[in-house]
Amino acid sequence: MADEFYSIGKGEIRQDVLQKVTGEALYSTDIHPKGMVYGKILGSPIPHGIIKSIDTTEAEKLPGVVGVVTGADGPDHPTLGGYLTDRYIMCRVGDKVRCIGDPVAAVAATSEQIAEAACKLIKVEYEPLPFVLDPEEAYKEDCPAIVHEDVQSYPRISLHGVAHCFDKKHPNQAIKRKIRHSDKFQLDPDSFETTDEYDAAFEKKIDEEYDKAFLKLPTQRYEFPRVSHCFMEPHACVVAPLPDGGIEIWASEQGGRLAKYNMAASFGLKPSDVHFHVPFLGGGFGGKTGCPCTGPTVMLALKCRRPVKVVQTRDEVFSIGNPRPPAVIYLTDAFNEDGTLAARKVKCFINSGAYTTFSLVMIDHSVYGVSGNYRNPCLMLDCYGVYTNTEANGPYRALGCELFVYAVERNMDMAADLLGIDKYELRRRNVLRKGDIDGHGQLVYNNGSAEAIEAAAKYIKWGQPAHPAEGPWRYGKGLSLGNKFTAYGLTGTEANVTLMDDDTLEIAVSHVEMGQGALTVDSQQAAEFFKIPMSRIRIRNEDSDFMPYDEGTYCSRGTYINGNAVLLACEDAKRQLFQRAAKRLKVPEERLVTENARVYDRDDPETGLYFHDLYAHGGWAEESKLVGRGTFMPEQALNDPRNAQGNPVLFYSIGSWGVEVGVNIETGEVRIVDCGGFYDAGRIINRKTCEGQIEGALSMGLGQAIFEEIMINDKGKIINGNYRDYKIPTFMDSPMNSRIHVDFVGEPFPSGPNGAKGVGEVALIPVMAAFANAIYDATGAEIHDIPMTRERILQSLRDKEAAGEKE
Amino acid sequence: MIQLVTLHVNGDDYPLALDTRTTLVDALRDHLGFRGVKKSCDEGECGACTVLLDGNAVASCTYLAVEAEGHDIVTIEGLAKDGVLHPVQRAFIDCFAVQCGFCTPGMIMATVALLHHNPDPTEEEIRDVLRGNICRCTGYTKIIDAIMQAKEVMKKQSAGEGAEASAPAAGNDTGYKAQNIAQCGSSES
Repeated sequence: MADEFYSIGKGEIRQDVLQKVTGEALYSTDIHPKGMVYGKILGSPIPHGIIKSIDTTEAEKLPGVVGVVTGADGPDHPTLGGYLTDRYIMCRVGDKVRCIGDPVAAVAATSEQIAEAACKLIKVEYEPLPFVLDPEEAYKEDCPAIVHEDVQSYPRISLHGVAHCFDKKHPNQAIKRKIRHSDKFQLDPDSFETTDEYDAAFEKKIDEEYDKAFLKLPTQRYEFPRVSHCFMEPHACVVAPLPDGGIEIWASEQGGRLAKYNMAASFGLKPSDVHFHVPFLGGGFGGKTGCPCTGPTVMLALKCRRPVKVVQTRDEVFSIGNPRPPAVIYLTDAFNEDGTLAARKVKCFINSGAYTTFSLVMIDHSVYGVSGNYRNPCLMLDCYGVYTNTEANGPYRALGCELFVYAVERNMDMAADLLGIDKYELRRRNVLRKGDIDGHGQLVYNNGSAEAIEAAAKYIKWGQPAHPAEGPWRYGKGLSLGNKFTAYGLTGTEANVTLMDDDTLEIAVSHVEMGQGALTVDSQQAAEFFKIPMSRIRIRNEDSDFMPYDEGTYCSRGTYINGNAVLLACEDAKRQLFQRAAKRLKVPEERLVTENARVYDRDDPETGLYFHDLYAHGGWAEESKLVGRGTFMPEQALNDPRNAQGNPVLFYSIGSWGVEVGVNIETGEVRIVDCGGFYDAGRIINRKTCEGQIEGALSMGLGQAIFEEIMINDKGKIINGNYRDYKIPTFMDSPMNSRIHVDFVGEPFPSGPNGAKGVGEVALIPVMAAFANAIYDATGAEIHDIPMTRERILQSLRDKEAAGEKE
Repeated sequence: MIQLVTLHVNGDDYPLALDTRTTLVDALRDHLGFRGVKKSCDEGECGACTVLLDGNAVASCTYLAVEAEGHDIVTIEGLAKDGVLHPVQRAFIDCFAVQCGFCTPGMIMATVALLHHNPDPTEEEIRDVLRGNICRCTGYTKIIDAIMQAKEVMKKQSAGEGAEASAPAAGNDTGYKAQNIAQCGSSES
């Protein structure tokens, strides 16, 4: 980056790092109020049933037990769920449990061991009901298990593109997302009596386009598993009751403000009586949006009148920890002879699990995976969110875009092979460029897709052969291109900037620090604005009582939305600073400039004052403390839920990988030979933290590609809820440092803070597809069940061999 | 069963009455307040709870506290001396090897043990020895950078010490005061 900047792109160290390398950083698990006891949640052992009775007598008698709660101690109506309120904090007698692990009781005791032992003494009688685990089974008309009979009566809030979709024929369907776009024909939904008629007419038209096309790819089915975020800090919550009836909460929570209001509403408390702290998060990746133990912990604390801490075990993180939903995607593509896409039909079933939680957001956001990189002259997409009797799923870094991108990128390679067109060239012919119209009818701007994939192809020396085969090792290359729809115009954000009497600049935001570098990039925005060193900046973010508004840190919105709010607060602070300084210095405001905590006359730099000169001893200032306030509301993004046409996207962040892998055809082992990732995230505020996001995502994406899957047995129970059986990449799996290269492309985004866009999620999105394409290139193993484990690679090669022999 | 034990942690003796089943991580965190020691999987799979026991890295969640009596225990809190960070801590800062920070204490302690036993490891050796320390944020790339930096600094340091008889770390180019931390951004290339 050019030298015009003061702090941006200057390699500033992380604001939180000293605390973290010395062990002083506090996480929710480290909070330990006086008199604290330990809580444990008892979950349902069956996937679906009615609770007939609960007997807690024996548990209460166990020495060391402080209190036991059941659903009767909690809210008598569902209060959880965000956009569709479908979940009780604790299941109640007479009502249903809908998945294994659904909370039915909780115990507080003087030790975790006693609490755990007491849980085993609670007697719960269930009447089992038929259950369904698979989303496609659940979607069927004659599915014997209905997860939520009363779904239509639940309170709900709509999110812009997604419809709550209740259908007597498909009682387990709760949410639907549609895209209908065509450059070839015009169909106005308003000219049809019903949406069903519009849908049918559209499908007829797109089928005609498909039939006309030069290459008709048969429908491809891609199946993706449930995966765990595997953040290192398990979900944790500490709740202390206060003498005035309020409560103080410390929770590993990405959306502290939402959680505060949710808890207040659930327990009939005033929001000002709920003091919500979000300490450092030991990783989030989406999975701490709606920390699953907060509600039960509040119940225990209110009943026992003592501080209670609940920390999930790793097994609980796997089994009730909001993992990424499993999904099935059907992709039907047709191409023209020149390699351009002619028509694309997509159908997707997302397994919401027993409760929708935030699956709705995932369904809304994931579909942009199809539309954000390539032109879609004819696109029809239907994505269904379906209830099953499995663990409730939640947001996961990338919100499902990686799944759609995987399907699209695999199909691109397939089409290129069949058309005899180079795979990079085929992508180049379809890639969205400035001025194009995308699959939402929206004009393309600030989209670095073409540049990113060009850089990735160049890095991996596309066009030159991969390493020659050596013993059992086969080598191949893969390319992929992904995008993340980032930030949306539904919620605003506030920031405060205080110029202190010791020449410190203090920022207050509710931007959650979970490792991504939130505090550092926000500080850099202020450092840049005031030309003040990072050592003079203090940033606070942890306390809902004093921190300004922000809904939560997710959807890669933090850098963009909080950064803009910080800049607006800086502007306000500067305006006040100049007013006060002009009066004191007797210099007109327009002649003033500021740097390094000093304001001075441009024409006479000797005439100036420091921030501290505005205050008397003790911090008294007649005009009050100098606080700048900023509120930022992104432009409202709109689209028609019937066809997702409009201007739904503020901006896309883009990423592309070129990878070369070696695959051992005797063992199925996959090794990275070389890989280069190229990202458009606008102007890079802090290169090292951005690189860190991308390198971490490479590892996470590698895990998704070849290892990771939460497995459940035919009774709905998770059977690999630990790091032995659910393998995530270690030092041994990630590539040697000389074999990984990360760089940035694209242009500054005009409405981003100093040109920045988000990067946290897009980092992950293209990774899995690049590995799949490279594994196929190396071996011909075509695997549609993800992950591509060693067993599946070997099986695929064997199947291919057998098919070859038959011919 | 309750047993009286004395744990020697970061140079100090702490007498404790503990249930014999108490793991070292729980004793350190919940009984002694060394909450820099992190508990993540509680079954010896992830390395977040790594502490030094007589200079060796151990997963404190799979070690009984009563067995640690008589051993020299060092946690992340005991690594910086007189406000001067250990070269490994410094390198983790300089190289951006920290993101969420939850694996960091264990990762740093495991690195200190590694460099104690093998002052000049190759990247392959580092990856092999630290395979039991999981990080979900970084993909390990920048942790490797940090360990490479720490190794070079410590090699120079011990060469210097050999020549001028154990001078304290403070004052040379590797040790630095924690309070100066904010001034020490590495310049961007």
